[in-house]
Amino acid sequence: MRGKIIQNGSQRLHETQLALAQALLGVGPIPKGFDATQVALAATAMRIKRMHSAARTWPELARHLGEDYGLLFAEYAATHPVQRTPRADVLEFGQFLAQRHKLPQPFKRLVRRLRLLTLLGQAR
Amino acid sequence: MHLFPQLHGLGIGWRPEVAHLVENRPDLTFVEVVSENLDSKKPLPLPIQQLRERGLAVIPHGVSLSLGGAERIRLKGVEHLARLAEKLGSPLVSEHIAFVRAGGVEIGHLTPLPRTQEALEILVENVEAAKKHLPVPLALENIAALLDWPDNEMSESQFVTQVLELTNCPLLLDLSNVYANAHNRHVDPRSEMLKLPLARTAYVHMGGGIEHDGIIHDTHAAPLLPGALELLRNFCEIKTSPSVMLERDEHFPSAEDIHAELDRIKEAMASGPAYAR
Repeated sequence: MRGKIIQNGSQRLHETQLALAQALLGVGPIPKGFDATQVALAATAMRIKRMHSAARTWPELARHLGEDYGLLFAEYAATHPVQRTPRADVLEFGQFLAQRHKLPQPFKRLVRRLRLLTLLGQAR
Repeated sequence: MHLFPQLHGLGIGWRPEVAHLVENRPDLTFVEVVSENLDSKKPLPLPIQQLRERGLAVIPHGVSLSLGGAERIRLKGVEHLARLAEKLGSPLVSEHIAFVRAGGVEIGHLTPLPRTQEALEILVENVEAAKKHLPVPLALENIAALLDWPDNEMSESQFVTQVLELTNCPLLLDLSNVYANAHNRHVDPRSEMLKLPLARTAYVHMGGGIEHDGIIHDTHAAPLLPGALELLRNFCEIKTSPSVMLERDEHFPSAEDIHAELDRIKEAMASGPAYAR
């Protein structure tokens, strides 16, 4: 859902906020004038925070992936924007793993069931 | 007499991981709950209800209003905060001086604003819009920022002072953020703190962080940094009956360690002049 621009003349600020958001999520270039090192640092801190939050939300999955967890999550995060809640994010991560055959059957079934429940929940 | 709404005493950010500790710590007077983690249309979770019965103040703390976004704030988020404040009988609610989304893109993180007149006007407009729907005052918090916009027209303290004065909002003073930003910008934390509108302080946040490559990261996942505690002592020397809370979100240590952190905060709170206690 797109928010309505608040004032006349703030269109440019809105565009820069959007560009910065995309740069921080790693899906866009660093907007003009920003310090590349600072933006990269902030983006990395955000990715780590997101990874921890996913691990905390579904610790069994993190335990199952063990040492591979960090790399797999980095790969997922590079191509998937952060979801609205940590729960939705870790489910999306589960789906990503399932599609790449890196998830054993019990986890796969759980991901399918929970995603369905989430979809039904949103439909209500 | 206080000009602005205030809490009193010692608090902690309520998380399921510290629920037991909160139950067993009689000197706590308030807790803060992340509003996005509660359903305002359902009955309150039992542990929260029990805290209310015990007489603790419960403050809903929002992280997703995006008050500084150059787009209209979502009314649903404000109404959610308002319902929680009613249900919890809260003296105030709080949010951040930041934006978290733009054009439908969710950043998932409190992101700094450009400190310009234009951004200030937008922030004020959004805060005023939110205030209309809130039954209690809205305290605004200073954030930790790892990046700065290129076109700043004012300092952080000037920007914070302006928004609070124009909206007449109380300050949720995060001293760990003041400390981290000052350290990362190579300026003196104490003078930065003193430039803030401290008389408006409703309560204080203290959150742990780590230093990596000379940069302080405000992680809420590590112990309080000595420099941040020192800043709290400086604050308590000038602020009568301060109210201060610990924020811990991840890597929860043993209950003993959290008790020790709370004790360190309490100790700093007692460093004010005797007439003020």
